Amino acid sequence: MIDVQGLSVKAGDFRLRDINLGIEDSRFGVILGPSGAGKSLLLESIVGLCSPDQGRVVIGGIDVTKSNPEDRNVAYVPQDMTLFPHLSVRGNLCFGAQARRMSSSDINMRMEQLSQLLDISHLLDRLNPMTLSHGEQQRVAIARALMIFPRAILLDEPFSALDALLRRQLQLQLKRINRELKITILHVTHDREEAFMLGDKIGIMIGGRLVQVGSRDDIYCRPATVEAARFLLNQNIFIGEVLARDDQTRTLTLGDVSGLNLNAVAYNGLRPGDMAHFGIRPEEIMVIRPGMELRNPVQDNLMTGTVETIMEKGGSHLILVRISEIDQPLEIDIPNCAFRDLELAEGKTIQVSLKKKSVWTIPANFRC
Amino acid sequence: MKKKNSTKLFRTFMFSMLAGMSLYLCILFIALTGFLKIEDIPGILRSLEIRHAIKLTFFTATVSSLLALAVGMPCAYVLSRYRFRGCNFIDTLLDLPIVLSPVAVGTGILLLFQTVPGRWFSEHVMIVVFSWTGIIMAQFTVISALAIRLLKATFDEINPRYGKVARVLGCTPGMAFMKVDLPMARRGILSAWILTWARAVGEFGATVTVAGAIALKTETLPSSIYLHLSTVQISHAAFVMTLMVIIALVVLFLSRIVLRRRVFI
Repeated sequence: MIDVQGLSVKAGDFRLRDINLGIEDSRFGVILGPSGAGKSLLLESIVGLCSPDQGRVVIGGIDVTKSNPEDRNVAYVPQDMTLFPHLSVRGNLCFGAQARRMSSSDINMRMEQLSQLLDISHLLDRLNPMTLSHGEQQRVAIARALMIFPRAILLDEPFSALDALLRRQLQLQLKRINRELKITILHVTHDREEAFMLGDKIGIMIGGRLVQVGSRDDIYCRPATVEAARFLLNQNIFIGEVLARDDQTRTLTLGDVSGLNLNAVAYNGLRPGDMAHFGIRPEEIMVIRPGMELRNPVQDNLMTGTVETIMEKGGSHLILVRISEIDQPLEIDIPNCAFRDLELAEGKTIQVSLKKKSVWTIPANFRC
Repeated sequence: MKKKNSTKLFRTFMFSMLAGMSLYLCILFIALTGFLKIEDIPGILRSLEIRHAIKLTFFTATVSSLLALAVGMPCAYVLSRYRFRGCNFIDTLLDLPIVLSPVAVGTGILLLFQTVPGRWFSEHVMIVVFSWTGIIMAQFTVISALAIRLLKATFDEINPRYGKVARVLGCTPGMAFMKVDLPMARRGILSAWILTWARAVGEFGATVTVAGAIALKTETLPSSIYLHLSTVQISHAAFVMTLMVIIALVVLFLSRIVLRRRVFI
């Protein structure tokens, strides 16, 4: 298990503050955040390349905060892979194992296993690893990291330089490695889709702070801060007051300054009179088909508006709908098939439902 | 039209300067050959003094350049990889021998051995002043700054992340340096050795101040030129100079091959 407790690290003018993170054994953890958030610095602190000012790093139950990188038995794949250019592919793979004085039979067995798992057997005799494609270099770098039987492997944006198809293949391969080798993985990315696809546990890092750690559902449906909500492309964000709370039905009623009233599930300690940020993801808003019978979840927060703008996104359409009660247009993301069935067009009046269970709330006095 | 003319004018000026400088150097070196008397060459080559000077120069340059590399590598690595208090001061200090006149450097060494510890060293360890060890010390002092500069540039070009990855894979800092940084810097190190060796071969000011120019004792190739000129043996001086030009050309050629650059562009 990787357990980071109250970690603070200074690097130049930048600082990681009070990072708390726990990734259980054999689980896949992802740190998601924009560029410059401090994700790489966090990984370097865990592997021992940066010394923390405060806090502890515990790996496999052992406090390694003051240990040297070579004593932590944690593998690290940096963003640029850094395959050693003076060594062959085989030399790169054996490097860590030889440094740790593994026997040659163990090295050969492990190399055989990983070469098959990562499909790099045909590359082993290549003399210059710099002549490999990006995808091949990435697989060799991951195999080199796994050669040392690490307790965990830390990957710093490993797929950022790859094209979409290759990225998808390697994402699946990484998930398979996680399952087959039962190895703990901590992966850093700025790609939201990649984080949700791979992560059993996701941490959102913004400005040197881990603003939220949780499951996919927690992160997706219940952002902990407005910054996290914005980073996760929650474009429909409002600020207002809690008007009522019904503990029996676990319902909050929220109202914003422009007169919008929304019902939400009461999942935090907000009480009537509290100020709150609230919102809903564009994909969670349902466009009601004319004449459709409204069942229970759809009956919440019904509104009527006019389609202002339609933008194609490839697999889905982004629609901006002007609702009379709201200052800003409501952003709705609907799949292509639904878009075609609904025959939406700019200027058309539509009815939408902001399902209660999809509305998230954050106390407005929250400080990250 | 005007723009085209100004481009042409600019290029013509720049290329003329380059051609002029190249021509000047060619004339300078070709002029030497005018003073060479072919019939004297076998005699010069048989001369014990010249043969001793060649051997001594090559020996001292090899030892001092290897010493400069051995000391320069850790210095350059630290300056390239770490930021610490006083870093800029030390960096500037190490550059001093490049900027200072070699005679001043030599005088410094000479005076060092007039101090109490210096005298003790001369009496109990080895004599430096007016001996071949003095030549090595003078050459080492002058070329070590160049070695550090060249090696630092080499280490600067190597991404420090390679060393970091090696550490995470299981190497101690020393192992990471030996197994990653050093092999990756090998071409730069070889090039630095060739260039510092050549600079040591050509060193005169500091050498003559510390070791003098005693025939068959501390006479190196540059001091041989000086001695022959002072005794108006122009043909001998021209021969040694030609020899040094050839050595310099070979060294520059080798250094460029090592760095995998084209020799003539």
